[in-house]
Amino acid sequence: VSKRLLVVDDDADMRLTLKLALELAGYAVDVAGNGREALELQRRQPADVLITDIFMPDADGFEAIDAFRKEFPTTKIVVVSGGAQFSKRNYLPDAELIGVEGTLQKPFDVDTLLGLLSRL
Amino acid sequence: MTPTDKLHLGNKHLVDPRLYKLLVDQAKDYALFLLDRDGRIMSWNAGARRLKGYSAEEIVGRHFSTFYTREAVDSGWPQHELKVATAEGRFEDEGWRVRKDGSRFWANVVITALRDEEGRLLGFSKITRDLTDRKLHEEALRQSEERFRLLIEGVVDYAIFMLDTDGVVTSWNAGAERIKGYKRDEIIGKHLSRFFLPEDIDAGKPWEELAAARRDGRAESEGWRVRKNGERFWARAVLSALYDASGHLRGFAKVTQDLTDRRHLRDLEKATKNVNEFIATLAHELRNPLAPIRTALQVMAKAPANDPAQETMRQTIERQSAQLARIVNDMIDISCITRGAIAIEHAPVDVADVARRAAEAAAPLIDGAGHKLHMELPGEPLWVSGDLHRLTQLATNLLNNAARYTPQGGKILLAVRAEGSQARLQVRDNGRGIESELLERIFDMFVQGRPPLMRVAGGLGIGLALSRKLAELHGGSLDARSDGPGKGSEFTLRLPAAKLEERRSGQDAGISFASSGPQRILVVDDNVDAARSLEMLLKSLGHETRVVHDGAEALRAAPEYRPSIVLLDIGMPGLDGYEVARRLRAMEGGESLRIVAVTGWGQDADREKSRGAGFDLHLVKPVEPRELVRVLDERGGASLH
Repeated sequence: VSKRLLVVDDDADMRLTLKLALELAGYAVDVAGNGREALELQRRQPADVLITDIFMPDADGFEAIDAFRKEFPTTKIVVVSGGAQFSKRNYLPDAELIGVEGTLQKPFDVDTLLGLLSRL
Repeated sequence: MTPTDKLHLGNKHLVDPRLYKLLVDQAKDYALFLLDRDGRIMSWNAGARRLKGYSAEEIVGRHFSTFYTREAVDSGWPQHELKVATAEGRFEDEGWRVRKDGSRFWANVVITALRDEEGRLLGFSKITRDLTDRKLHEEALRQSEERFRLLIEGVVDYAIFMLDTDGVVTSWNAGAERIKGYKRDEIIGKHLSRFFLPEDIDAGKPWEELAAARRDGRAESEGWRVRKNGERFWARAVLSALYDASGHLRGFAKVTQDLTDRRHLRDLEKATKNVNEFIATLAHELRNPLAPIRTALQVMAKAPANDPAQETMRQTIERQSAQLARIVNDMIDISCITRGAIAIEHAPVDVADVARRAAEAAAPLIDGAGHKLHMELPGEPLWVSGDLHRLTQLATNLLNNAARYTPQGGKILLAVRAEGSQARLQVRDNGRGIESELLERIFDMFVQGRPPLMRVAGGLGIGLALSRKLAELHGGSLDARSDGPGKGSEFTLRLPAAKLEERRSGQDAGISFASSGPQRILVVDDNVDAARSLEMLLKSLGHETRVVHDGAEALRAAPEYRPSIVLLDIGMPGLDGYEVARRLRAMEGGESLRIVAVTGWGQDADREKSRGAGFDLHLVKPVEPRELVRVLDERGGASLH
C-alpha cells in the first residue's frame, strides 16, 4: 500500500514539481501552501508523512510541525528548506533538534528524498 | 682724603668709618674689593678670600685679570670691563672665573667706577657673587629640557606639538612632520584648524576641541584629519591644556596618532562581513528558484516523453529560471549602485507610460496566479525627469512582489496620479500584508531576525532594496504600508514632477508630441455648434480636444487638462475672452501656453486689444482649416496679428 504524502510549500512551482516527482515514484500526494491549509487537509485526509518547508508566511513550518505533533503524533515529518549555509537562516539544525524524521536542504535530488521516505 | 671719609647713611647721621670697614671686611658671601685705575687689587675682604682662595697678602697689588679664564684674558675682556665701567659708571657681567686652585666658579660681577667730587677717577669697586649653584641648577634644567625636547622631537610615531592659548602651533616634532606632512618652518605660527576637514572647520570643531581642553584640561578626539597634501587620515588625538605654576593657561600640547591603517583594517573587516552576508542572501535567494528547477528536471527525466507533465515542468523551469535571471540582474544592479557605477538617464518620462510598461512586464506572474490587475491612470501624461527603463524596472518589481505575495486570485491595483508637485505611483494588493515592525526593514538588503519574518523579508529583500535605491536616485521615495498580516500591502513611489521646461523638452524630443504631431487643445466657445465643429475639425487632424462653454469652466479645466493650445472665443457671457486669457497667462506654466483668439471680431482694434490681453494669435471666424493647421504647427511661431 503506497504511503500518502502531504507537501507544504509556499512556492507553487515547488509544490507542483515535488507532487509530480513523488507521484511518479508511486506515492499519493496532497499539497498545501502553508501550515494552516496543511492542517485542514490533514484532518480531511490524513497523510503518513508531512514534507514541509520552514519559511512560509501565515503559518510557518515550525508552527505546522507543532500542530501536527499535537494532533497527529504518528505522522512522520520531513523538513525541506532553502536555508543558506552561511547565514543565520539555516533552521535545518533546529528542525533536527526538535526531532523530525528527516531534513533536506534545497535544492536536493529527488532520489535523496525518495531514499529518505523509503526508510521511514 | 680716603673714599671712606665720604661714606655716610642719610645726610645727618655720619657713621663711624670703622664700621664700614668691618662691614666690608667681614662680609663672607660677597667678594668686595677695590681696584686702582689700572685694575690692580687694592683691598681684599673675607668674602673675597673665601670665594677666590687667595689671602690678602697673596693678591693685593696684582691685576684683577688673575681671576679670569685664559680665553677671557686673551680676548681682553677685563680691560673691556674697566673701559665700560669708566665710561658708564658701572659694569655688570656673569661668567666663569678662576679660583686660586684653578677651579672655576660662575660669578656675578659688578664693577663700579669710583670718582671724587670733581669727577676724577680714583679706581673701582668690585663686588663678586658666586652663582655656581644657581648656574648648575639652571644648566641641569636646561639639559633636562633639552633632553626632553630631543626625545619629543625624535618621536616619529606620534605627532607631538604645542599650541598657544589661541591654538597656534608653537612647536613641531618629527612625528608631526611625518604624519601631517608639514615642515617645522611651514607650520609654526599657523592655526590648528588647518589639520581639520573643511566641513569640520565649518562646524567649528577645532575651536570646540580647544574649548573642551580648556574646560576639562583634556580633550580626546578621533576622526578624519587632513595632511598637507590634502590626503585624509584617521587620527586619534589628545589635546591637553598646559598651566603655569600660578595656574594660568599657557597653551596646549597635542599628541596625534595616525590610525589610518587600523581604520582601513576595520573597514575591510566590515566590508568582508557585508560581503559574507551578501553571499548568504544571494545563496538563499538563488536556492528557492533552483529547487523546483532541479526537481522539475528530474520529473522530466522520469516521466514518459508524451506525458503532459513534460510541458508543465518545462513551464515551471521557464518561470523559475526567469526568476533566477531577475535576481541575478537585481544583484548586478545593486552592486553597480553600491559602487556608484549606475547611469541614470534624466529624460522626460510619463509615469503613466511607466505603469503601462510595468503592467505588461508583470503580466505573466499576475495572470499566472489568477490575479486581477486594475489600473487607474490619468487621462494625460504625468511627466517626471528620469530613466524610463529603471522606473519601469522599479514598478515591475512592485507588481511582481504583489503577485507573488498575494494568494491565488487576488486583486492588485496600480494607480498613477499627480499629488501636488509630485507624481505618485501606487501598487496595492489584498495579499498577505506585512507586519508593522517589518515595514521599514523589508527595504534592507540583509534582513536578520526571527525565523517567520525571514522568509518574507528574504524573498523581498533584494528587489525592494534595489527599488528604493532606484527611487532615491530619481530624487524620490518608496514607502510601504500595510494594516498587518492578511490585510494586504501598499507600496507608494513618489517622484518629483518635472518642471515645465523639462516637459517641453520631452515634447520636443518627440516623447509625447512631435511638433507636427497631436496636440492637446482646449476649445472655449459659448456657441455650442461653433465649438463642436471646431472640435470635429481638430479631431480629424489627429488632435486631442476638450470643449468648454464659458470662461470660468475654461479656467477650471486648464490646470487639470494641461492643454498646449487654447482656442478661445472672446465675446462670451460672464468672463470674456480677454479676461480668461489674462488669467490663463497668470497660471503656473501659463506663460508658455499658446492662446489663440477665435472670434467674429476682425477689426485692427480688436487684434490690438487681444494682443494686449496676452493672446498669441487672432483668428477670425469662420476659421479656414488650412489656416488652423498652419497655426497649430507653428508652435510659438510668428504672430498672425
